[in-house]
Amino acid sequence: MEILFIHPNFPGQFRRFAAALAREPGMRVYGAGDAGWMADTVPLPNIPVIAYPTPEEVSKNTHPYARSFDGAVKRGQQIVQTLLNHKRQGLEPDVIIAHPGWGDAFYLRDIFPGATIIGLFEYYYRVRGADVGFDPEFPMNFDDIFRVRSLNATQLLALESCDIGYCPTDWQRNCFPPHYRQQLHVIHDGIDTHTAAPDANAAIMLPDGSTHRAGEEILTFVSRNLEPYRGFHNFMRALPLILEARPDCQVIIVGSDGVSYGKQPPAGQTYRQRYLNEIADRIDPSRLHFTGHLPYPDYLKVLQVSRAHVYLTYPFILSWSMLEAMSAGCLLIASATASVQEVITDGKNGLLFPFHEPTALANRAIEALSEPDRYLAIREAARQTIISSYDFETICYPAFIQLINQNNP
Amino acid sequence: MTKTTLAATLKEAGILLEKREYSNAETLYRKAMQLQPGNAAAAMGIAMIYNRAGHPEEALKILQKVWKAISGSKTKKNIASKAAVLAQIGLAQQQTGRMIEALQSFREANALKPSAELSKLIQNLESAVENPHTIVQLVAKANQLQQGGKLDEATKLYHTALQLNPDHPEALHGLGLVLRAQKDLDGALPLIQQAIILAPDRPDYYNDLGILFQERGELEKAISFHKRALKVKADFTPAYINLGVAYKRIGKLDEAITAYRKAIQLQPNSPAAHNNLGNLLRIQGDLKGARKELKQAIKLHPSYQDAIENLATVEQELKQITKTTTKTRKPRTSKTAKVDSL
Repeated sequence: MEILFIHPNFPGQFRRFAAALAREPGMRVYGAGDAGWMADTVPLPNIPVIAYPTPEEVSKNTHPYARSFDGAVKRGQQIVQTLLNHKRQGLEPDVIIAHPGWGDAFYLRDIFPGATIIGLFEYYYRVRGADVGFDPEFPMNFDDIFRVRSLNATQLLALESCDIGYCPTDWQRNCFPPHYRQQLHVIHDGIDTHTAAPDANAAIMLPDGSTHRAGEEILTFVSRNLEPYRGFHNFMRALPLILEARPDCQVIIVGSDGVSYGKQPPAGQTYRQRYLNEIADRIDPSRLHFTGHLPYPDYLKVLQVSRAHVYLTYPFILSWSMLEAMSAGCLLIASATASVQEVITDGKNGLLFPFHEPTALANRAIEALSEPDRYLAIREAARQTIISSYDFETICYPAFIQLINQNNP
Repeated sequence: MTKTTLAATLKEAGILLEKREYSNAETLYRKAMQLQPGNAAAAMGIAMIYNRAGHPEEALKILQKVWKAISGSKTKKNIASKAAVLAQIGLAQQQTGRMIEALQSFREANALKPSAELSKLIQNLESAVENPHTIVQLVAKANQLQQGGKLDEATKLYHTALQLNPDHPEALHGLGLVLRAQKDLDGALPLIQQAIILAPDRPDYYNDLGILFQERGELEKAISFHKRALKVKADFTPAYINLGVAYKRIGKLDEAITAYRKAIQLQPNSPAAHNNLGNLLRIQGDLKGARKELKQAIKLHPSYQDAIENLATVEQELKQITKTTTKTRKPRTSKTAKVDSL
């Protein structure tokens, strides 16, 4: 069977699935992505990659509500042009698995008639009841209602362009309109529970030269970017109380200064600096260790030395890091938002607090840091949750294979 | 540089162009381009030379740039220039076989600045392009020639049809089959693929692409396309027969038998299905079953040479078995197997 994965940043979320499929006998796996986006990605062995030129930028004359769709159409057209060249040489995948969020999948059905098109559907924007307008500190404006609704044009055309789809979580699936849900399965990308596992002897030397070991009083926070969508502001606001109550506690904060989701800070500013400034006179900055982006093995070490790990998010796509932290046996102190509550039950496999209440976060963190033995069962339950529901090898990959086979008899 | 020099150069180049002294004219136009890079009149002159010298693709590249530069202008002075560029674009499109686009360009040029010459071009093209019978007749005739083995003549007619409409699926498919028959598999592939894109509801197109992949030795892909034919039309018997052949070639004999039996179920009077099944049963050691199927193939098609030869082999093997005392019957290898029909 010939399978083509398409993601502008290939392999993106398909890294594990693509790599595993490429190891299957009789399976030929290809990838396709945007040459510009993929410039820094680590290639997967035995998977040839087709790079398409970055599409031209969206015109400034395009209506603001339609810009995202305009960009998606350009991308869809670009990938058609590139893939047609390969098709003429014999590329005829049986199955195409695409992330259609940027328009890549729009016209695949047209140029590969008869191939099965499977889409990874991550998110359907909602004007109310999800991320938009969730945080009163960053209120939506009147124009957002229409802009956000229009953003879904890309997803809607993508839903029509794919034969079947899957979402990583139930919550994400339920964001989509009811009449589309029947074509959407729930399959998580999967966690490597062998790699993301507890290690009582773990130690990590951070870029600032400090060394930290499992068993020490370490509070951790991880986010690709330190930004409000992932509750960075509320986490920072909890720190003065925590550090005052726990004088030996060290805080490791992993993440970059960019913005993945939501509004950008004013030019020249970062959210990290903004919220650090806000608490600067109430903390000892030497107890905060900002690492920036870490290589994957170092990031795992951070999780392994953690006594308590904080995760916050708007009602939005759940981060892999939360699940990997649970897999590593961390004690999760997480915001009680819908996407988190699909995985964590308060007091069973983690501790929850209201997203908007830094004091509640501080209180839970102080408890967790002061009495680590009391939470051992919760840490173990967290890992079991991931093993039983999100393990790549035994849960997610078999489900993914089944999805492919069921739709490509 | 002075305006006079540029104007004089352009004028002289124009005179040479009209005298058909293309080489000298091009030299002067290029000189004008050096005097004023991006000069539209010089670019237009070079494009006209390319058009007249049979290099329409090059002409088109230049003309598209010229059009981009002047199309935004709304001054009266530019109307004549716009019409001239559109007319040249039309000529280039016509020469590259894009008749419908050419017609549109001529119409736009004529709307801007009507002329008898353009009207005639439009009329001629309209009669060919907008008469659906033109292509239908061309393709039907080409099909006939192809069936009769006159592949070169068929090719010419398919090309003519494709000049009228480069996206005509039947012409693309037909030309693809001709090239496949001529063993130009790389040439045939994109044509049949394009035909499928344009007419994704044609099971025969998928099936033919499957056969092409079989000929390229890409059997998994062949299977995929025979199956796609069946997705489009579940009772498309030729796809089952070809699916059986492909399965057999990759050693999936049980799947091959299932495919042939399905073909027979759908079309009991298919000699090819009976022949192929008989041949496969023989390989599997079921000589009596093989004989029955091959006899049926010959009954349906008495001059079916493959089936006749296959049956002779089976009869010979049956005789040998009756002579031997060996009671265990091993499956036959395919070394003496005759051909299957695609």
